[in-house]
Amino acid sequence: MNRGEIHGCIEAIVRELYPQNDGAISENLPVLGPEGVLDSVLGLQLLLKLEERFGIVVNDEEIDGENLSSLGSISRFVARKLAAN
Amino acid sequence: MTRVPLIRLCHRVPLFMLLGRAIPVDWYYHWIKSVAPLIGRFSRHAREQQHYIRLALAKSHSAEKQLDIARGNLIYRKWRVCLQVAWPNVAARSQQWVILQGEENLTRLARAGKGAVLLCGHSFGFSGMAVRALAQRGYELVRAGAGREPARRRRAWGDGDFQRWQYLGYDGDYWQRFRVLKQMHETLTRNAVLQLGIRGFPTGSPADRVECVFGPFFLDRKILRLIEVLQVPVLPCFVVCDQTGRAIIKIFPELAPSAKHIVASFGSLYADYLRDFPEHANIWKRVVQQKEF
Repeated sequence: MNRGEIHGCIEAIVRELYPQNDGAISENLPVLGPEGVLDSVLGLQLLLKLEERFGIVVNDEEIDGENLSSLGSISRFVARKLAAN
Repeated sequence: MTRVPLIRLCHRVPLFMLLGRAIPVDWYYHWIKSVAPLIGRFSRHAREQQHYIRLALAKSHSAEKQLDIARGNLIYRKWRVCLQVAWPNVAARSQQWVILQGEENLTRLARAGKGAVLLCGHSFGFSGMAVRALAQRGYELVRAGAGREPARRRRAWGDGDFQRWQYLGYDGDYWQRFRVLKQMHETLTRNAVLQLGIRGFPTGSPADRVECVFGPFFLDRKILRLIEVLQVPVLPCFVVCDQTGRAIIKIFPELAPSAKHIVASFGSLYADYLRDFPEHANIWKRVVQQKEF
């Protein structure tokens, strides 16, 4: 799976959880975190969908702003996890 | 009295612990019951609690009944502190003073292997006792809450049986709360039981409304959404004390993890418990002040 496909999948999941946004989702849109558009419960839902869709396991220490704050950072994080598997 | 110094002496000071173990648990209860009227008369905090109970229940209960409830509430609150302090010494004898009803509802889910949420009213009854008593019977339990752990728990419960259950404290920043939610999910995937307390709010969506003896309240939408995300069956659980101080833990049959179903079924049970055991609710001040409880 290339980077564009990963990004597309994640964008689709975010759209599903954040239907209020009917326009384009920017790479820098804060998805999770204190400023994020998804609260912690929706964030958990996102994380579970990522694990299921990509077959990855997100560890506790990986849950932080660096890996999961925006669409771009989530895509990069998932790509790294897939490459490591 | 608030710190129950005599109980603390018997159960926490090494030289006195043998004495603490030898004293039957119901003796402590009778002691609490006998000193409660004095506390009610002289403690400013107790008088304040009585005042709020009278205000909250003014429309639904007679003055005499309000006084009974206020006295019962005082006894119950002191008894709860007493059990917390004494637990490490008396847990082994818990079958004498903890009555568990509906355990089959939990064992059925444990055999199915998918985990379960034990759902309690946030400020009703001694829900913490359910965790200790069930852990004592061999279930793997995780309790989630906002308290400072584990130091506080260790102080309250000692270093004994608490190790069979885990506490997830969601104090902290967004990412810490997020990690705790993830840990809750992992807990359930390994077939443990997750205990959650649900708050009541003075306002909310009509879909979450529960009719109660003191007026309507609204169940916490965030917990309802979390349950829908976790997708495991929900067991309503309430803990009250009988006239002799025995803790009665009642586990009700499972509910589907749907907000609508939980509001209808759990909400109705919660309202019934608040009506039938108002002395076991620690909510009255907040009800009067129109705050979440």
